[in-house]
Amino acid sequence: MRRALAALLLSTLAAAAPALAQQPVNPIHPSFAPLDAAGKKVRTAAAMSSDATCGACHDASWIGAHTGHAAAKVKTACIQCHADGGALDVREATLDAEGRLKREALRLGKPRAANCAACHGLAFDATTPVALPADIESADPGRGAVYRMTMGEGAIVAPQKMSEAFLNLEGKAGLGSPWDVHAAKLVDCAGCHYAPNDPGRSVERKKSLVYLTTDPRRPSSAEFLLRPDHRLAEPSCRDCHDALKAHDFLPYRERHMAVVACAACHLSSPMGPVAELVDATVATLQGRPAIRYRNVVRQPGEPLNAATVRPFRPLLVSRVEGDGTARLAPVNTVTRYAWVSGPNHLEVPWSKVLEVFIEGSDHAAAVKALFDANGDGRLDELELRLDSRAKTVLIADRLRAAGLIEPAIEGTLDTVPLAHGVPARDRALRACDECHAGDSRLSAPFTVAGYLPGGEPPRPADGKRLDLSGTLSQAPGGGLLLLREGGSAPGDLHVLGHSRQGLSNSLGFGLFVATFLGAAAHGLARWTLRRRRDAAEPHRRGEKAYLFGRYERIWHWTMALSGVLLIGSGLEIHNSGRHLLLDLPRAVSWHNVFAVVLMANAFLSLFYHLTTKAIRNFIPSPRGLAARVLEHMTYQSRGIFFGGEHPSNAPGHKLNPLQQLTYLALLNVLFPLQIVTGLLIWATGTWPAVAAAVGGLSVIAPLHNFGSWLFLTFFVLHAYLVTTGPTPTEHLTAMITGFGEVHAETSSSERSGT
Amino acid sequence: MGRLAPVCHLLTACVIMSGTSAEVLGSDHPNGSVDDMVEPRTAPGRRNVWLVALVVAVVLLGAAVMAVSLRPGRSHGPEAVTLRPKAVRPHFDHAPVITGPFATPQAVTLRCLECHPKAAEVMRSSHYLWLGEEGEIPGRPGKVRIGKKNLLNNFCIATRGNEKSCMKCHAGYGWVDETFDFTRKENVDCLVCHESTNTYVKGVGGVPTKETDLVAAARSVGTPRRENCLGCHAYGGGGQAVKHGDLDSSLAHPFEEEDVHMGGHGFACVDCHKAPDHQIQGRAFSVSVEDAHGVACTDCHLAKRHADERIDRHLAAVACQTCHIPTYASRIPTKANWDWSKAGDKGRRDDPHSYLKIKGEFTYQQDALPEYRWFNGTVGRYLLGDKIDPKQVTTLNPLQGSISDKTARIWPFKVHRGKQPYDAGNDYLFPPVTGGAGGYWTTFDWPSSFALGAKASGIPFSGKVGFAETDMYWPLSHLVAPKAQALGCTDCHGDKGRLDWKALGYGGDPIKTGGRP
Repeated sequence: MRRALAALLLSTLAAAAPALAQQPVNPIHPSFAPLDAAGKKVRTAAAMSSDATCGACHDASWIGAHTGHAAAKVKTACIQCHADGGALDVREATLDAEGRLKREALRLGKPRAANCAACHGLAFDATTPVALPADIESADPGRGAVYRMTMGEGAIVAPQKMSEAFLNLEGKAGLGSPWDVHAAKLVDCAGCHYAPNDPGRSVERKKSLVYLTTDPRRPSSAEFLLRPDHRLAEPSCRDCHDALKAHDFLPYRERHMAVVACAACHLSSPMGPVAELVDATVATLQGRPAIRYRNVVRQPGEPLNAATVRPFRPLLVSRVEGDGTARLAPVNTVTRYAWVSGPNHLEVPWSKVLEVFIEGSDHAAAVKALFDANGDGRLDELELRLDSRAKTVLIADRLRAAGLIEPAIEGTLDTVPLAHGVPARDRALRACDECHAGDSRLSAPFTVAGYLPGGEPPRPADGKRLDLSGTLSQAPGGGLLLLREGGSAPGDLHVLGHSRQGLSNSLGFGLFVATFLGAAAHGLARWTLRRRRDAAEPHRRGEKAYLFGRYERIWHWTMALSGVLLIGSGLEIHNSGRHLLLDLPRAVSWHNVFAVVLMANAFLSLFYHLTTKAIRNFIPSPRGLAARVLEHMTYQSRGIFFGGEHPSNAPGHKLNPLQQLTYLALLNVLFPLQIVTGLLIWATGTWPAVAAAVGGLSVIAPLHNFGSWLFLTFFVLHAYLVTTGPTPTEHLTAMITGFGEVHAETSSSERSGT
Repeated sequence: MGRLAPVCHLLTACVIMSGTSAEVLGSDHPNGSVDDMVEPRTAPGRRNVWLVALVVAVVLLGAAVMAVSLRPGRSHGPEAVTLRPKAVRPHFDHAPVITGPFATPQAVTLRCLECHPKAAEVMRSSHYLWLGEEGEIPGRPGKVRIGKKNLLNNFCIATRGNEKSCMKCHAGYGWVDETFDFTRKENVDCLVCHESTNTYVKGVGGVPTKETDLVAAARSVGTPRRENCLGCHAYGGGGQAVKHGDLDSSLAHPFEEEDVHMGGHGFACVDCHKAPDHQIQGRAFSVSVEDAHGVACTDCHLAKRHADERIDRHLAAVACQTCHIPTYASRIPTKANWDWSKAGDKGRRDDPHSYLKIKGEFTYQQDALPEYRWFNGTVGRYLLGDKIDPKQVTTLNPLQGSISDKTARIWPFKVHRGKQPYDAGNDYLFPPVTGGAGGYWTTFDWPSSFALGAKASGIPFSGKVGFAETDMYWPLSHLVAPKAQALGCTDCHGDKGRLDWKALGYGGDPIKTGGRP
């Protein structure tokens, strides 16, 4: 009886919801007589018991024990989900002489969107205009779950185009996408949330036996109809979609799919009204709790339908998906505050709150006296909130006077993952810098609650610890703000262009700057002292000799070009394409391509140097090395300014010992470091396990970053030293034409600049 | 990985080449201190050095090309449609060469023909003859020649006997009865299509009214603009948008939302309805039975260019127009129903959109949902003298094609339903004389207007007049909406779809029952 009443109550509530896709007359369901709980035939809807009526054929008790729709606060009856409008049309006119429903009253079957929408959120069919129902802001605690999908996720399920909605949406004319692309393609709620033992659905892959793809044993239709499993499936996108077969445009597809949930891009800007704070500790003049929205621009007293809805930018967190993998996924948080009382902290009935706040058609005089800060005779949004002790005490006192014991304020914080209302793909995130930029949405601050009624911090709704990947802090207005360190990403992901490399970056940059300044000072000193040096050792024109062979020059300049392009494109990636020369995907392409060029060039020149034994030029002669190093360093710090003699290289060596040591480090440490770390970063896309084995991108990327600073430092030093020849352009000319000056007495050993 | 394959090839090439290069490089090496480390070679190939350079250059070039071409971010949706570039029309300002004055409109035509003698070819066109080529009508033997001249419709019924007013839209001068001489070149009306003053008004028999400034019109000639075509085609049937549900005067200045070609891209009618040798492309199934010289979407568009292959699969059974013309008469209402039997009622007040004493009762529709039928591009045709069953609705141009006809596709139609006078003794539809002296619009007497009609068209009249229901199908091709407004799945499939699957011959919604075999 109670269940029947509940069903009746809920069906009237459902009737208040907009008219939705209705159940058509079921052509094959056998006719039946409505029964009451005792099994007696009844002739009114109110007296009918779903359990007894449906249970005459279907195993109602088994279903009741195998359903996800039986949480503590949720009372569901069969017909609520399976009948048209949530109720059967039982009255004299629809019953035959034997008490059975006539065929035209058998409007029941698989749940339609309308059935689900009655409790979960807004859903519309192809022709009913999309609008917000008047009761969407209702505070009835019995309807706690109502509109959660819409108010929590910002999802409206409808096949219609957003541009045709009866809502003021920002940029509405351009919103050609349907509200829900699944609804638009005739995938209804039950299409995803199906009964797992439905023989009409393919049976899921058996997890226990990996060599089986499907299990052909499935219940017959009759068995299924007798005992349909109502623990409805909650599939993820990937159960139907193969993301790797789309997304051609996306670089590093595998990597993106491994760490980013589909919803992160495809539910990046829901257009439904998204609640931030439902404050049921106060009552508005409309008899509703005060609700703060995240994306609604509203004039005071304006109905929600008339307010402007802007795209909602959800919070990205690391969330474990159905397949057990943690990915970046969008969520919203809804904080709900209400008065509780008694030892069990039961929520105060809304009628009592109304009683305390409203007298007649206005706010109670005592409330108004305290709350109306600007004295305009009405309580606006900023005034109608329990943001001071005096206000809280007043309301608590009034609640006590209304007969409630120990009234207190409690707040719950609910994290709502975004999963419904997927728009067409042209509304998916496409711009790289939405994530791959220092100030991207990955670390944007997020207001959890604009203010805290009664100053009480909210507790997680389900008692579980929330991981919002950030620190909660007090917002200036007394609310809660989720802050994230700039450049950090949820789940400790390393996001190119977004994540900062801290120490390695600063160290590398410092080294680069120091070298740059050193070279500048050295050059300035040379320039200042040039007359003195020339006086001491006037420049003698030597004879021209062929110093650099064609191949040497070719590999040198190939290396130079690819090095410069790598550093340039690397900087673009580092800054997420914000230098505007290359966008991020293009910068990544150039970086990859010229990395291959550089490696090929390095490989070829290594081959050349080994086969021609020219490699010996790069290996320092151990005999007298220390002395020669000292000698060359002395020259660089003294002789070069005052006209000292350029010290000679080890016999038979083309490079001086300083160069040899530099190149030894460059070729044996820096090159391998950059090539290996670069390859690992590249491999993250296809073989994430490889990079993960050495600590993941958060270890590799800083190393690569530091290496590139070292390269840049080398470039500066190298370019400067080129100018230290007999004339500033002497060495450069030699590397271009191959011919350089050779002095008789120093022979070919004086080629210090390269 | 796949995108790096070219690099791998180049790399391999380099490695292969490097064997050669390293050997020959020694010979090219300068006589520096390295000489004593490198075995001197007397290799022959100085040229090979250039080969090495070439390889490096190719590597670099290839890399550069790849870096540019690897640009990700291309949409996997269809590219923009291949719109046929609008023809560049040479414009010659005729004002300096046309001096006038012109005593008669025929004098203008003769002046045109002085420079454009070939233009007389328009005399072979249906715009002048009001007759098509000789051909077969589906479902009936023999060849006939049909056109506006000899057909019946369920609007103003027939031109025979009503030439004085009907021929206001004839591209000629002076067709007031059957004595009109089609062979005289000067009887062609060049101006109606080519003038651009919008002040050119044709009166009785197609002769310009005496207020018309012939010199101004003649000096303004150019390529036909939308207004030229709409002057007749938007006003057929005696008023704005009476006949076509997809042609009305709003197309003179259309919005993009109304018609993406004319509103969004500034098309003129003649951009699609080209007129080689003055034989204008395009077919109206009110007067033609096939579309051999018609205009098709696929003349410009690649059909299979939808982002979703499921949409492409529809093309076997669904015409482009079906999805891309979601509604018709979007700005100006069109006549949906015309009941001649109510005409002549003195007591009723005239209202051009619901009742006129001379014409009877009408209903108009705006932003209307098309009706959908199988159509293979040909229609049958009711000809003068064909027997009807007055109890049944007679379709004047029955659509050919069905679900079992592979060449047929589902098309959108405006269906014009009428109740028109017929010869109740002979059981055939009849062309009464309405306008002019003795016509129905003066006498409001059907038998006498039938008698006049019998004389004009040479068909016997029994003396008994009745009213029979008829309908006519008007396939829609104009008012193509921007793609955002094209139909989506749920417009046809699902609970509230606009197609009646059973009526089309399907077992049910083909999304569940499957398409036609």
